[in-house]
Amino acid sequence: MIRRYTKWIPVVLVAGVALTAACSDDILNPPTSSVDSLFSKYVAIGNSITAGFQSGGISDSTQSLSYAQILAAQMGVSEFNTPLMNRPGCPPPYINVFTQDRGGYADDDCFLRMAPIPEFLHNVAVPGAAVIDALTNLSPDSDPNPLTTFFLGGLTQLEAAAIIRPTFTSVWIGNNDVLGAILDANAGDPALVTSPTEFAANYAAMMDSLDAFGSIQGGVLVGVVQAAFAPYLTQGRAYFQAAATIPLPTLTVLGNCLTDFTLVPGTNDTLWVSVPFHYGGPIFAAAAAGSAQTLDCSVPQVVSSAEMLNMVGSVNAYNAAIATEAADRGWAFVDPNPLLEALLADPTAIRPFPAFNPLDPQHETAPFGWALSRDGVHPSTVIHEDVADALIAAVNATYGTSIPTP
Amino acid sequence: MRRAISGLVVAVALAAIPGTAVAQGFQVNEHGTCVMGRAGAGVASPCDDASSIYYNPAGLAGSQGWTISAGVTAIYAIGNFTGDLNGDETKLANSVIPVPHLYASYGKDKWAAGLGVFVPYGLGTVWPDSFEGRFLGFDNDLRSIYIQPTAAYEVLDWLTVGAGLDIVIGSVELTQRLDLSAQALPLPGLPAGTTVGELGIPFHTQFAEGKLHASGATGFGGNFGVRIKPVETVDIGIRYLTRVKLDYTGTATFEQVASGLILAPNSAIAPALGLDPALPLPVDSLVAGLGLFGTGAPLSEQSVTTSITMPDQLTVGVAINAFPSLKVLAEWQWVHWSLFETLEADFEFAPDLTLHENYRNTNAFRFGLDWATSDKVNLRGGYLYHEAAAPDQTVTPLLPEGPRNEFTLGGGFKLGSRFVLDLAYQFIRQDQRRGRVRDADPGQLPTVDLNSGVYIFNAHLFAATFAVHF
Repeated sequence: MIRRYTKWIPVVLVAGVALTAACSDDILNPPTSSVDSLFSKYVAIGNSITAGFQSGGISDSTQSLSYAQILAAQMGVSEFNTPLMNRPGCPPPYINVFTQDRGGYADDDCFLRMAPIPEFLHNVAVPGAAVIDALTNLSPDSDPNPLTTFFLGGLTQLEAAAIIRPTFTSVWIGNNDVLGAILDANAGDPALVTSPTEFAANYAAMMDSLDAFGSIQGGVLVGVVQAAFAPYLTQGRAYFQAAATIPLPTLTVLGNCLTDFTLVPGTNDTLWVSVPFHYGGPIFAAAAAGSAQTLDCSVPQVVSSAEMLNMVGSVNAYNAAIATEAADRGWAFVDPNPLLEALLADPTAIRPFPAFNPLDPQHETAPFGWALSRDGVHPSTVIHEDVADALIAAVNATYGTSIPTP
Repeated sequence: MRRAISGLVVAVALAAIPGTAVAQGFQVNEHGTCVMGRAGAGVASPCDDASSIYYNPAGLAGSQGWTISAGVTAIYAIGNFTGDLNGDETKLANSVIPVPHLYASYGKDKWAAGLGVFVPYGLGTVWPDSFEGRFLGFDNDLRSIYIQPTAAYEVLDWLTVGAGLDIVIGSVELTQRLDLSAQALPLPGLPAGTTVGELGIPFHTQFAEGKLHASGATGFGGNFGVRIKPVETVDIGIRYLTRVKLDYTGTATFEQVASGLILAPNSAIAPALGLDPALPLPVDSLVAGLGLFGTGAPLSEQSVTTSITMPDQLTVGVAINAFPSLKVLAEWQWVHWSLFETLEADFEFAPDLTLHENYRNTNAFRFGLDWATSDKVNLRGGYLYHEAAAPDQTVTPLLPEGPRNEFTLGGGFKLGSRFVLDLAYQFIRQDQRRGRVRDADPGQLPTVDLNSGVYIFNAHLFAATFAVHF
């Protein structure tokens, strides 16, 4: 009886083949990079520059111009989510920094996150964040702002980054550990500059947290910008020269603006007393309007040359600590200050004196030079591209990858 | 005896908890161990255990005397979801579920009548409450119990007909977490429709659990069958099960669950709510203070109504006695799944819920063998293929369904002249299928772009039926 059915064996075999062919499995579609799997999940940690803040404001328009966005595109990542803000912004960027015109909107206007919100973020940078803010929002030393919640909604940058378990990260944070001292009413106050010891400890803790993700295979750390040289600060001697050459008889610039300088120990560099825009700008504008004004560079609102020295020294120490963290992990390190120094040598890139004159062609569009956005602190789109180029070169050199430049 | 059968019907109805659906959509086709061993091919040549009440009512005709059978199918479902982003795997948390069946019939001369209890539609999916897909549903149960009195008649030697009245009792239970980021926040100064997510709360931030429970829905349908024997060695069967619409009324309950989020000081949310912006803002305290769960509030206990139509089925099959002791069966089944377009729940206070399903009509192909190795032993085997009812954009935790290849083995053992024990095993291998763990954005229809991982589903089914003839 059994033998009679052996002729069915081929049928069974054919059926088996048919069954195998009938299976059609879908597969996972994990994040990818067209350049190298190292970059398949890239997360950007940072502050306003990384977030894409320009001209004192932020919207999806400026966010899409961030160096991090450019880097992600050049890495060929399949997905790079940013907490995009609706236009005109949060707050809307300046149209004219001298009149503080944001297109008719107020400094605290915010047009909320763009819907639909993404499931997770790759650019977790928050404007205003110092290193401590990447670690915690709730420490007494933290300084969260409305964008902290708009972007991260109760998470820290590290917590938001951990969700995607990144394979690669860029970290450009620390600028606000010194920049706050420039933007404060008592500009240059050493108490507003994070001590190098505290900075190093916070930065190390942040890097340890990133290591703890267990997923990161590489990264690039970017040093802190010498905020003392930001165009937002104008050397006192530039005011002195401007008052004399315009001429502007209603403006008296005291000699302490010209003479207060400090030689950087061990170098031939000179640090000059500097006037923050929020203090010098209104004085100059009032004088230009015919009101007699006096600029005294000995007041607390002005950054003394000694305070400048403290800031420069602190940033040098910060960058040494960051470079060490990078070297310890074999990560790439980029010091942005050589780029800044090259720009400082070009008076059209970084103007020694803001374009106060409404007749100046750059008065509205590039009041601090083409390298800066309209707020005098945050880089312009062109510089974001240059930063991306610098990071690409450093990453390629460190990891032997071939990220193309834009 | 009648009283005993009545008690059994109630017991089986109460115990008829389906496992994860094991045919297309949320259809279940395993209602008799003998037929299960033949890959479910039972329309043309029913088994002698009265299960034809379900598979083809015409198959009752010709039986003589009483037949009572009772059995159970144990469903052990294994499944998981693996996300694209991190490759994390979340396993289905279903336990082994017994699905009983019960039939009784009596035949005399050309007439036969019977009663069956079975569950042709049902699903049960349980995922961990930490699963990313918990916002679509993580503990879901749907059951439609059919109680079917049936009559059959042999019209001619080569033609029998049968019909049954289906009394359908349905219940549904859905449990899901609610996403705070998707909730509208009607505050002064904010544009209408602004969601909490637009204020920064991360996507899929849980803040409440909602449970919809509705039972006692009843409906009526019919199950009609014809068997034709054109030649001595060939049987042809046709069977049509009508659609049944069930209107459910039930209760929805909500309770707050912790998000664990604490908003940083200086957020824009605190001043909008009249709170001190200088202080951290625990989201859970904020939610608790909104009065969402109080009497008459949107998330208070409330009534809910919904409707689901159990689709109609058409089955056509042929059985050929290729050899005196070997029966070869082939069967095609069409299920009208396109009726399942949306699952809408109308809440008394909470915003109504609409799940877009957009199922497609499906075809199933079943091939079985039944070999009588002796007067006392039958061996069975088979293969079946089911198309997927869910389109690519609707593969969700509720029912991560897909095309299935299934393999069966079985045996029937006569124990004396009156008793038969049938045993069967079925392996279900579902194609790995991309699916989603999130809903579409408000006002949008789901698309395949929302799919973010792969669902894997397999199942082992073990069945046993004991039948007695007298």
